[in-house]
Amino acid sequence: MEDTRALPADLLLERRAVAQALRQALAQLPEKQRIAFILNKYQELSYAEVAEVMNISEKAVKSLIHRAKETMAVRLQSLLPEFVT
Amino acid sequence: MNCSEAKNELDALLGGKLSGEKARSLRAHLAACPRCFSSLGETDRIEALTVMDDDIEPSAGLEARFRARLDSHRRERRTGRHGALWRQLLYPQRLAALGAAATLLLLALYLGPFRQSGTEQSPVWTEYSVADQVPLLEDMELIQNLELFENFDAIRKLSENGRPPYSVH
Repeated sequence: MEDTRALPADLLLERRAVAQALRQALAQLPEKQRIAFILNKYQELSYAEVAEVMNISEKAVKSLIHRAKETMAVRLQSLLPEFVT
Repeated sequence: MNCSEAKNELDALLGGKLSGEKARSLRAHLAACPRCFSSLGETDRIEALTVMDDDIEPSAGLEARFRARLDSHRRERRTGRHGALWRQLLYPQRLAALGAAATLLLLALYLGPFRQSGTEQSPVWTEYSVADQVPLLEDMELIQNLELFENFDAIRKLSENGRPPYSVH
């Protein structure tokens, strides 16, 4: 694990801001989209693996994650405009 | 990973075909390389942002709050409130939901610590990792008074058993 105390303060603050904004946007997603997104982006499972865990088709996973990304991108535009636009 | 490798793997990442170390490595490159980052569409920039939500130092007093919550959970159990709860859970639908929640919880706790492969995990780190997972899982309404919450020994054993079960494509 990287020692975040070694990071410059501004970069650390930036990372915290990103993390906070992401979690805020994530919390507002519908449950299935949130679970699929977390398993794919945070737990680093492929769509096929997410499909297996959630017991749904890979196509359904793709759709859930696509919708989650679109919704989150819109929310992050106001929370993190410098990163998303 | 360099820009050329990142470019070659990008379609696979966006198509959900990458997992584990490869996905992590590519996302880390996208987050660190302004040129590659700017080549992503607005929606796909989230791929790079999620790796920045990985190495956040636990906030001050996290362990104390975690312990306090655990003590409170144990006290409630001793006073019998959980007995009533578990009786309420003995309906088939609730049992099925609880089983699914326990499976996802175990998966999340098992896979979570391996995201930082190659680093030696101290018991304290493992507890922080577990603690960091809890708010997300609670947010997902996947855990409600589960006994697993306090079973640190079992969680540590899971994290000592080597690589995660999924393959890297």
